[in-house]
Amino acid sequence: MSSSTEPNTTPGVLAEIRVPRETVNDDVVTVQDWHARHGEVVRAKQHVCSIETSKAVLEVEAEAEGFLEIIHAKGAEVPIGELVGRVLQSAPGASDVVRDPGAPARARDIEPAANGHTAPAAAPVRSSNRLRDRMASGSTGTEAVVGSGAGASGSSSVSGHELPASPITTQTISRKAQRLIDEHQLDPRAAFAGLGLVREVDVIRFLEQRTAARMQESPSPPSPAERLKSEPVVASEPRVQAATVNSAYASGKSKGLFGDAAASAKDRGNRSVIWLAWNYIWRNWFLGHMVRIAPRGVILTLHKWRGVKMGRDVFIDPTAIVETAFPENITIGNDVRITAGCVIMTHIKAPHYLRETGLVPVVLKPVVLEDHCFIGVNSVVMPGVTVGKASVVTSGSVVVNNVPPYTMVQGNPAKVIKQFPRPE
Amino acid sequence: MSDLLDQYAGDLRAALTIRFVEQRLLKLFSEGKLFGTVHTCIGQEFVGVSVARCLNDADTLFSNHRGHGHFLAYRRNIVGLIGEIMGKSVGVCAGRGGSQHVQQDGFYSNGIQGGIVPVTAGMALAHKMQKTGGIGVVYVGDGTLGEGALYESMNIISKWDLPVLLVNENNLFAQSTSQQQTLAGDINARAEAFGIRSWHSNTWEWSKLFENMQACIEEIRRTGRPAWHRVDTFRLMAHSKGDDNRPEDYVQPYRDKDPINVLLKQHEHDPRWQTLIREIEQEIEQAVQQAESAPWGAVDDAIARNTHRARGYRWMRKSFEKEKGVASVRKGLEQGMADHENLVVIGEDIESPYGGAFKCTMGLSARWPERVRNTPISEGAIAGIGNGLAMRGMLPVVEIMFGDFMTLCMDQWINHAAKFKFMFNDKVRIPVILRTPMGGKRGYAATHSQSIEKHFLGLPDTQVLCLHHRYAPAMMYADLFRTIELPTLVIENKILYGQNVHAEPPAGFDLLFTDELFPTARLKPELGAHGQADVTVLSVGGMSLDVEEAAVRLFQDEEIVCDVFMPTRLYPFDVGVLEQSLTETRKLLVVEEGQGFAGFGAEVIAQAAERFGHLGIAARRVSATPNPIPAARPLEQHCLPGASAVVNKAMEIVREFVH
Repeated sequence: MSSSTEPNTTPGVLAEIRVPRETVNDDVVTVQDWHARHGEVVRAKQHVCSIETSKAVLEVEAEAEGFLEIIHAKGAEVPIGELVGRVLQSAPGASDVVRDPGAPARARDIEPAANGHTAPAAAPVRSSNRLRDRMASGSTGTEAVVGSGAGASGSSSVSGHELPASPITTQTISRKAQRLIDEHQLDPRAAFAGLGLVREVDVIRFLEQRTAARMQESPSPPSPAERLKSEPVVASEPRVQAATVNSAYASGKSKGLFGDAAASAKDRGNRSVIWLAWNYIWRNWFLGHMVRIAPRGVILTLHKWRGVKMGRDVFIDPTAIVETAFPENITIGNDVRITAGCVIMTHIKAPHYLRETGLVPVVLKPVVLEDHCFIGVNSVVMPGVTVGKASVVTSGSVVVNNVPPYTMVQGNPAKVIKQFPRPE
Repeated sequence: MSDLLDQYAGDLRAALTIRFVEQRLLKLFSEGKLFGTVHTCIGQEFVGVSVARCLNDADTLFSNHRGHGHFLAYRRNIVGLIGEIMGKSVGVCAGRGGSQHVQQDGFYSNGIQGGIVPVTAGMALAHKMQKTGGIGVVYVGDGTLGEGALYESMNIISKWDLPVLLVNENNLFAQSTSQQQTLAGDINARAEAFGIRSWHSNTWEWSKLFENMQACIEEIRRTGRPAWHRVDTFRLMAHSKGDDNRPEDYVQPYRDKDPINVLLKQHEHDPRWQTLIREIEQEIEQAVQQAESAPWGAVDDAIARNTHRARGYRWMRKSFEKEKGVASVRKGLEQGMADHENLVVIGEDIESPYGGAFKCTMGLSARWPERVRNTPISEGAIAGIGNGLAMRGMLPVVEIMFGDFMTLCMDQWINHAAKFKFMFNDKVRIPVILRTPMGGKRGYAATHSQSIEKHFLGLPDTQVLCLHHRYAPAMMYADLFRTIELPTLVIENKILYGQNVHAEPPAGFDLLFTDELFPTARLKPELGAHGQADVTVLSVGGMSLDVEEAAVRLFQDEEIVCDVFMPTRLYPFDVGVLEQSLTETRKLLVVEEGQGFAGFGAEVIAQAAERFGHLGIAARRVSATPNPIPAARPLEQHCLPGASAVVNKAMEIVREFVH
């Protein structure tokens, strides 16, 4: 861009057309109409513009004779004192009229190709200085004006030069989320369709699901250890479905000593019945009892053999019951304590009558205990519950709903009694 | 003298009835059968009689605390009066009004000195506009000569040529205080100063009083001009009960020359008079018996109606044109004037070309010159005129130039507008609208920037609406004009006048409205299935602009999700509208521009604590700092809450949230 982009040094500005303060009501007024077209010659004292205030319609006149340059088009809302147009010595360039008062920051990001400058077109430059853009395009001469038909509709001359990602008009993205979106080069409109407010956690969830989907498609997925390395473990929000975070805690032995029961049954087809019977005897009866009498050092290993997925530094008391039938549905994060007498259940199987009449259907839902959470003595965690990061379930509680991160719950049913300050 | 009875049969009967009823009431009081007190007019009977004998059904009367005589002279409803004072269902207002608040047909009374004068002026204006031929009569004692509302009204009554008769009962005492201590200057000179023709009579020469009063009322009817009629008289009994400190030898001469005492003495042995007296006494005795045997006025639905009933809220979308707040208000008024022929707009400086201090009434007076009127600077009087207009079938819209001046309308609002419907047993409607701009941030300083809506909240039988930028004033006014039953105060924040009202929510939020007549708008965050809001924010009036900005900032910078509510009606207000959101967030932030102490936010939080205490709600308020509003921009910015204050408080409640 040349030095002529600086408006102060631009020669040839004969007069400025500004919005006067007329009433005490208005800080912003509306450009009701222009009586001359962009680039047209106007005379001194000629009424060129009507400004609508809350009180009346004001006629604004040009103070000099010259070529009219329209800065704010018909319908635009402009603050008091703002420049709406100018009278120039020579015809102005293609009009880059701002129609929408909310638009300045995203009005134009790329110079028109007609400008002749190649650099900006190749590497989009974010610029909120409309005036500078316009002045630069103005330097190309008058033919652009003729070509675009001038007038208030001149903005069409820059269509097609918008940024590839169109401006977000229906979403607000938090700063944290924006950082992640930029990092991963996501298109928020596609990725978070139907979501008005996009938070960091939404982006993380999207990334996790994308990773999970890619790994399913991929013929040779990376080993769980590699996965853990590449995908950082992220604390999720309370309502996160357990299935989406399971992978985060999966370790090499998470499928149990003899593999995952459900997956095995699927692989083995009809033969699975015998295998399932063995599995039941081995996992649920033998190992299920072993964890009660085994030395503390062995308990965790036995739970892992049973199929419980868990991270590092976990403590499980021998008297705790960590699911009786479907231990593979339990995911435990790092540094979790499950104390004496706790019962963590992932299934509910009511008596025949209740099940068959449909009064109490069979429930089988995963349970997730996120990092650093603490399950107090004699507490019960019911199927489908996620206990959030660094949360406390006090003794004797029955947890039926998800526990948000950094929260203390108590009672039957467990209710929030305290929230801890979250580290920034 | 026996021809007196032929000439004035009805009038003398009325006067005697008044005397005997008052005496009977004093007896009932002594017997402990009256609840409260009575103000008797013994000695002043002929004033009411002299007026009532010249009135017809189109006329309206407004009486004061000492109104029994005025009422009985107008309508000989003894059961209705005694029943009312005893609090029985046969009373004219079924026991709701009592001694000082009696209403039947064109008769009204209120125990507020002075305030009844502008109401009468409003009624007279209604008579004039509706061409009923009626006049307005108002009774003011000499004590009321100390009230400013009287003079504000006299000025308007004279300037606007209203057919009003001001009857000044000059009995020399205001309660216990002698006129010598309180009255300066001449009584009738006051009226003359306003260009009102004044008359002077007394009750001792009662036949002369009748003549003068008749001439006076006929002149009002003929010219349409008001008149002031001073009637010298004397109250023989106490102001109320047992509070008479006047020496006996001062009162005795008046007792001796009292016209009724004189007449009774003269006709002691006249059989016609004795028959008449017996008849009246029988009539009164029957009335007392009837009243005594009647049941008490019932505590019915009307009294119980304001108790809370839980209701569900349905949320819906609405669309309206994006335009400046002031344009929408103007459009609403304009449409209202076109749709409702009885709509009248009055206020200071509202006529074109000026069109109001904030230009809300621009152009209205050009189209409807008869129905849009500039008033003098008399806020109390014009609010009262609004009340009077509303009670006589008009739909008045009174513009009070600045909300701060509403203090001058307090009496009219609290003691008149809010009371008439109930204390007159729902026999009157008072659809009056007061519009006023409140709020600061324009550098108008301490007396032109306040948000004092809290002083007008919680008055039964009124409603308080407030504008915000998410609901079009034009829609609100259209609904209001269509459905108004109660006195309604509309608070229009000044900042909103110059801002756009529009239905296009900020990105990421959905704009919903309740299915109420005056809906609460809600900016509901669109979080998808996994998210929930962090804090419920209730924004009062013009704070909607700042709250909305804060909600966007809070989300972008802090990921704090606000569920924003903007009520259009502040009173009555039901916190149930927040139920769904509070269940989710359990955090409530109320944002108001006025003082927080005992403000709207306090009410909302109290209601929330009562209704949703089991949820363990945490609550915070954003309001102005406790000092008058300074003028300088930075000082004002410090004192009045803006978007940053909302952001800070929201962060505080979310971070420190402890159940």
